[in-house]
Amino acid sequence: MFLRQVWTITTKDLHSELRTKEAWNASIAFSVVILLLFSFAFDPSSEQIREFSGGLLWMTYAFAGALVLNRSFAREVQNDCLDALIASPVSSAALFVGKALANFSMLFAVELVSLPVFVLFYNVPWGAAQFLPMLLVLVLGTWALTVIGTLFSALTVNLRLRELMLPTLVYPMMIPALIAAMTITTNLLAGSPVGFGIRFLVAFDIIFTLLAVVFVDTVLVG
Amino acid sequence: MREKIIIGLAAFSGALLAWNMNTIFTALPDELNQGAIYRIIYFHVPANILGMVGFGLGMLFSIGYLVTKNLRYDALAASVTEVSLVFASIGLATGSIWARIIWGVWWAWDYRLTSWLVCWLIFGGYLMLRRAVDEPNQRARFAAVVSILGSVNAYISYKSIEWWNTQHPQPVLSIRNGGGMAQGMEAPIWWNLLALACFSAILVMVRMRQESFANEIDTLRRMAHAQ
Amino acid sequence: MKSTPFAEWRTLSDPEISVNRNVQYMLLGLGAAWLIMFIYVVLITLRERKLRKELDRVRHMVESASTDR
Repeated sequence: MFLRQVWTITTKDLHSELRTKEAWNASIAFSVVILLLFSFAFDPSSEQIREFSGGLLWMTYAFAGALVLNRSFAREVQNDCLDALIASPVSSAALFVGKALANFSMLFAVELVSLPVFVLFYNVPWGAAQFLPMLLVLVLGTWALTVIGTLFSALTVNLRLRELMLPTLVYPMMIPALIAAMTITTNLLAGSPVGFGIRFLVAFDIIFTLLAVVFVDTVLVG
Repeated sequence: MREKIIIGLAAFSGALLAWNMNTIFTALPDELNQGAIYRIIYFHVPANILGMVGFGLGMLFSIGYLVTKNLRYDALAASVTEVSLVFASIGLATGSIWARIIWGVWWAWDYRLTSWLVCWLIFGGYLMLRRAVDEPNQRARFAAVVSILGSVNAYISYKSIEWWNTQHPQPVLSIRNGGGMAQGMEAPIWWNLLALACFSAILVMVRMRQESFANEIDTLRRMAHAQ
Repeated sequence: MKSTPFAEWRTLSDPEISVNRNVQYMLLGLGAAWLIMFIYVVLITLRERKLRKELDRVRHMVESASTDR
């Protein structure tokens, strides 16, 4: 029952996004442009680039992700869709998980498109050995961004000063996960051992998913 | 009654602070490796302990609000968090000045410093969020969620010097198996912690009274509108 | 416990740390701690004054409105 509700919400969100492709287009365009801009800030052909490649990549994802995540609940405000969703028999937790899954798949798709651009622009050494671990880091890191982003999207949806409050709350919350994802990615691309990061990221994902599922009802309904 | 408690606490913490300053400057010698600058620890450590414990208390009061829906808990959580943020600021500022001498830089991006700055930002965001929401119950709910999520980061910051090899010193206090200080040098940290804790209790009580003023203004305004 | 970075710390024998600068920064640090507390006390006092004034004003407003009727 819960899973079916989640599935309904996820497919609903993905359908409505696929119809307009608003957030998706904005996010892709933004991530490609920002990767381009970063190449002027640093010399992309230098050896040093290896040291901050992970940072560049995750900064791009964090900002591009914000474009997808911000709209997640905001788009339901028009025509009072949010009130209808809350009044519907779907529980808040199912609503949250459904929306998080939809956001996750959108953000993940954006990442899969911008990753080759990144590898190309910055001459990142890329081998088959990196592929699977990188995929794991992408999944874990993106889920961390998604959970926090979706919860705060719900929290700020009816706020005046929404555009101000969302980034001031969301980015500091994401920083621990971002740091972990950045260091793992950098280590992976440099071929050194990934270390502590994966465990930290898994723990972060589990804790914040649980907290979000528990408190989303407080945020949406009260 | 509250006035009397506030005045009593103020006298006690003032006297204790003066006595501590006296001990720190006249009774204690300079530290062997660091010289005079080590005395910053007598404010740095107590302030950060108060900040961290305060964020934790704020989380407990937030949970208390969510369970009971009593706005007094929310006022308590807001007051404690605001005062803790002041002490966290003291911790960051004093640490930065110490680092300029000992490390040669004002700031190092290690896990301890970064995670504590992140906490500072999150709870700063908490106070901003409180200003952005007008309806008291909604404000209390949203703030409680932010406080609970934020205290996870406070815990990460607390543990960071054990989990990672940070530039920030590892635990030196005896309660965290540090034991890195001579007996006479550690005791004033605890005395100053007591003095600053009394001081912060005063601040929290004043802030609580202000919250009830704000509540009363709110109710009266609503009455005026209803008439 | 991992190795402490104590060994990496500069010591007084480091020629860049003069005893004089060391003392100056100690005073700066303790001064900063006191200053931040002082600023917060000032801010909280100002807010107290503002709130009391506002409370008086609103009380007055409500009283005059109810006596008009």
